[in-house]
Amino acid sequence: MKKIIALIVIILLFTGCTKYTEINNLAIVDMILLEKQEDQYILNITTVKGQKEENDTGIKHQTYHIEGKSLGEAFNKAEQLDNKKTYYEHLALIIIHDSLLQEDAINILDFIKNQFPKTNYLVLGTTSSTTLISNQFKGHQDIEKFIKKEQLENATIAPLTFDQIYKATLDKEHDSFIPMIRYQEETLSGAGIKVLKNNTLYDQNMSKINYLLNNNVNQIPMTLEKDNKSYFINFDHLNVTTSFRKDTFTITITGDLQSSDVTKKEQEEMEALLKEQLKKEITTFIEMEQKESISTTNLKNLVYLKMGNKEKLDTTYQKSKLNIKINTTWKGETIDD
Amino acid sequence: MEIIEKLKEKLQMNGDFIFRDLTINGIKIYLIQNEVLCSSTYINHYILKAITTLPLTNENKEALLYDLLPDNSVIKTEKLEEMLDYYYKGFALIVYDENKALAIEAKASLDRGISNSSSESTVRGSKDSFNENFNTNVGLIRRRLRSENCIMESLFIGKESRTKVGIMYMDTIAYPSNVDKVKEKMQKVDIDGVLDSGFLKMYLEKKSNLFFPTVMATERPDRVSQALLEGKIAIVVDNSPYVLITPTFFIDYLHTPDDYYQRALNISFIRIIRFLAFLVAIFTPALYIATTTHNQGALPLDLLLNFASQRESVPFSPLVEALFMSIAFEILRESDIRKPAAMGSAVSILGGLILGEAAVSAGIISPIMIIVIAISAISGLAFSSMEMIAALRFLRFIMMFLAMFFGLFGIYCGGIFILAMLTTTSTLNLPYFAPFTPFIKSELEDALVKFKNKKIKKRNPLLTKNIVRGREK
Repeated sequence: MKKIIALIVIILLFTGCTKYTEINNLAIVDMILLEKQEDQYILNITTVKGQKEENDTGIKHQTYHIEGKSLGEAFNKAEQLDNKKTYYEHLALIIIHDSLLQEDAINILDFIKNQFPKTNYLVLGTTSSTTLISNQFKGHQDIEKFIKKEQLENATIAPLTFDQIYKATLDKEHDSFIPMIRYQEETLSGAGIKVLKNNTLYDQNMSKINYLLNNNVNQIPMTLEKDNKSYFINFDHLNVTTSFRKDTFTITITGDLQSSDVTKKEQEEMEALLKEQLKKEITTFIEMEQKESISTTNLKNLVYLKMGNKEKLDTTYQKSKLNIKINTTWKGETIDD
Repeated sequence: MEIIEKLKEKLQMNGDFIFRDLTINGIKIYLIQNEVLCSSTYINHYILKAITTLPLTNENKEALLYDLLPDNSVIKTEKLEEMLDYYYKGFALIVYDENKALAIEAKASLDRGISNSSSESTVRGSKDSFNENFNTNVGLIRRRLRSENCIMESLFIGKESRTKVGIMYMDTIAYPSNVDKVKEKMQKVDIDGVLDSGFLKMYLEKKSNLFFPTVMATERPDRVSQALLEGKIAIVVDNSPYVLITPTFFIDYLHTPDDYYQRALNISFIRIIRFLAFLVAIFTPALYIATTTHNQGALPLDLLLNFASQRESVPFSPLVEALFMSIAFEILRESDIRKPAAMGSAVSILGGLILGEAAVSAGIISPIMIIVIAISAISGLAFSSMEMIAALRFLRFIMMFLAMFFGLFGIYCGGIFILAMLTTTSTLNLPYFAPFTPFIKSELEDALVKFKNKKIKKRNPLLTKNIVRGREK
């Protein structure tokens, strides 16, 4: 009995010695925006805080603007925000300005990987001012709303996690890229993708094809012109498969077509037009990548898997032919003839 | 008579000592009884009435008294100690010769009758429960087990109390070695008085069993009967409404007698709920403390923000909050049990107000803490065994401290500690965590999930060699 009492007393005395941070002493980081202006690294951190209101619990966002001569210095300054310890476990989004990506994208990604324990947050690049974006959008959910809308309507952006991007940097058969956004007229839109290998920025159209081939989008809107008339067709429920055999890439795309601009009579013609346009776009995209020996899709990896070695990988990849098959089915109601 | 003088010397100073000398046909006989323990009505109407009509002579008095007194329990006794023993057991003593007396059972009914169980309610099943009368308790068991194999061995424990203790078991089912172990332990009990069955528990349990109870105390005769049919041993103690059952396993505390009166599917669900209640009772406050101090990443963001907003104005750490709430709840529970009935529900209402709205409004505790402690405490009350409830309480406190020191890692360590304790605890030298460890497949059919009744045909092989039910040994 004496031993138990002694043990209890010792335990009670130890209660003040534990190293912990209470939930109220944490600054929970929601979003980070990184930028470089001249020689200064700018870090915009958005934190979230639960707020008790009358009948509801609200969320309050707060943005902190921190500058440093290096990223490390900036993050060091950000360790304590308003006497609260910065907490990155719930980080949801990182936006990196193009100025940093142009400088040394891989090192930036390495730095981020070492800084934050988790890797399931989204990463976007931007050509617009991060300070402006952080002031206009409170929290990652606001930004994600715009991105999802853009993804559905235009297929010009598909958010990727840090994990997905970083893995690709380690993979020599696959070139990593970061989706880019642009802030314009109080709204966000897709601004293409930034290929990290050669610092190239693909435009919106190219990035759409990239997302399609990577199965990052479920639908793409296509506008077809015929006889001075525009037809808007939605190509959705997409599924893209790629294979490599006898020096030929075979890309098979299946999906449904929906349009309220196309009559039943015009369906066949529009289908053919769509296929032709899409094939052309894909071919242009792949040929451009082959020329630069870049592969932001799975194509180069297929060659590697087939060959088993990396010696003639680039040559084989560049010389491979392309075979595109598009299978479509018309769905939904069409207008009467 | 010398024996009379000796008896008077021992008993005269008591106010409830009744001494009556009778002369019948010139034969002197003495009636000695305890006014409180004996039924005066019975003695007057039956014993005295019969004695006064007997044609006693010096030669036939012993035979006549022994054969013709209308009582089924007439015992001849010649020793002073025996006479005193019978005197205090509610027997009337008829001293008819030097150092010779007859002890006639004339016990007064000092119990409260058979009533509903106060601590083990039943939804479906018998409502009767044990009371303080030994014979009544044994009778309630024998009503259910009308078999010559149901043995009741009695002994008297307690130097001053000489309490009657009955060890009951099924001769064709229980291991003789288990019965012998229990008898041995009971015979080693050397105390002044056994006022309740709880006194004997500590002699049956191992000292190393710190938390979990290994001897069950029950008020329900159906539970005892079921246990006897399993091969367990019941200990009935006079003046105690709780009968002890040993050996009991951990899984027995998740079972109720009602389990065998309902459909298997319903019972399986309820047992799983009880098991979840066991886990919730131990781990909920600890999980809350760990996730708000060390492992905030384990919570989804919305929940984390919710907790943070609720704890904003609270000046204490989560552990202090939890301890305050837990202790307040225990005080409230204790006062609820002990309070005089005349006080009514005022205490409960006051306690609820204090622990509820007032404390939150004052900023002493957060609303979420009330929910956490309430869920944990209520889950702990899902068990009928007071000892198990106490064990859960201790473990809850230990887990809270571990969570405070080490976060989720502390909880894992605590969980491993509990598992280690369960697997190393023994009950009457049998593994407490059976049928999980050791793995007994047949017993698993009635452990957590109950298979259909017709499938459960075998008894626990740890408790009996007579494994198949419904079969003679």
